[in-house]
Amino acid sequence: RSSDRNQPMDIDAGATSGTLDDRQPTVLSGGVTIKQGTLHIEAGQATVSTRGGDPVRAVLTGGPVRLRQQMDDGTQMNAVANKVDYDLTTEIVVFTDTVRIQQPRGSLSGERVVYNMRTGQVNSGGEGNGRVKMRIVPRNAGTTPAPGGG
Amino acid sequence: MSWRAILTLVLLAGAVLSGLALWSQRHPEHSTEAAAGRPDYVLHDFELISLDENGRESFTLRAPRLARDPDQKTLDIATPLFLIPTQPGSTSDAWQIRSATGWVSADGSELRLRGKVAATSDGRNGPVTTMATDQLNVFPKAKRAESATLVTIRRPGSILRGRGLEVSLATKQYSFKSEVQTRYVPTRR
Repeated sequence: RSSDRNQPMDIDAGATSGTLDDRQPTVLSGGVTIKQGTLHIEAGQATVSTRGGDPVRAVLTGGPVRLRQQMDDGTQMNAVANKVDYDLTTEIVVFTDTVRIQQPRGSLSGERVVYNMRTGQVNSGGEGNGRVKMRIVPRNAGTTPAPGGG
Repeated sequence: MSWRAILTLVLLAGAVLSGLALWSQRHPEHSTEAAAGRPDYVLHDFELISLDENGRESFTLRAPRLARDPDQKTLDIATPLFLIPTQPGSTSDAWQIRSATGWVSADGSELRLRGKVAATSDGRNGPVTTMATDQLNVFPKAKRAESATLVTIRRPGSILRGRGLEVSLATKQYSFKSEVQTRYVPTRR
């Protein structure tokens, strides 16, 4: 949700190192969990960059990385990839390496997917990024016709 | 005097002598401890400036009471306030550190702070940073601090908590070995 950005971000990890100012990103390891509003990410390692004390970018690897977030329309987005690069200011996420994205409207898999969490816009594949497989679920697929065709 | 009487006297004398020996040794550890425990000097309401081998201020210490152990040459301090300056030309902050008790090694290279330890940077080179813990070992010359217990570090917009802290007071580089929890609270929106 767009409101997620105004919520506190809580990060748990096994170990961490960095600087007590913005000069260097904070490196977290030993199993990392990031929560911010409806955003929930789990990964092996994470590197979080800050500006003025605010987190502006999170690069997560290992695991694989599992990310879920509720969209503004209330639907849930689930993603799995070996690497996730989340720009927290533009809310554009680049998923790379064995990417699978699952949403009620369909699913998508490939090697590189760029996802705009604000608009839900998706760009995937491209030069040297392998093929993309997409499945779009018809809007009324969920409603099975009542017996007797009523 | 029959040999039986003589024997009795000898035994009686032996009993009395051993009783005396036992009586004089009744608190051996107290007598030595009293000497060892006794500081060779005590200061009240003082300020101490410790200089490094180049004559530069390593730290300043203010406290209501200090006692020096004559054997170990160490200092035990009540409610100390340590002021750790920044070095000329360096980009580090100065720090002030308080605690319930303090201990200073013989050569002044290590400070052990125990109980309600609160460290605060002066923010001249970056956001003001505070550290709170129950134990902190500070190495003023090396401008380094470490703690084996839980430490909470607060900066504008974030709270960082963990166990097994190592931090450079000069470069502000830090690491935690376990139980890391960070909370970022958006400062602008």
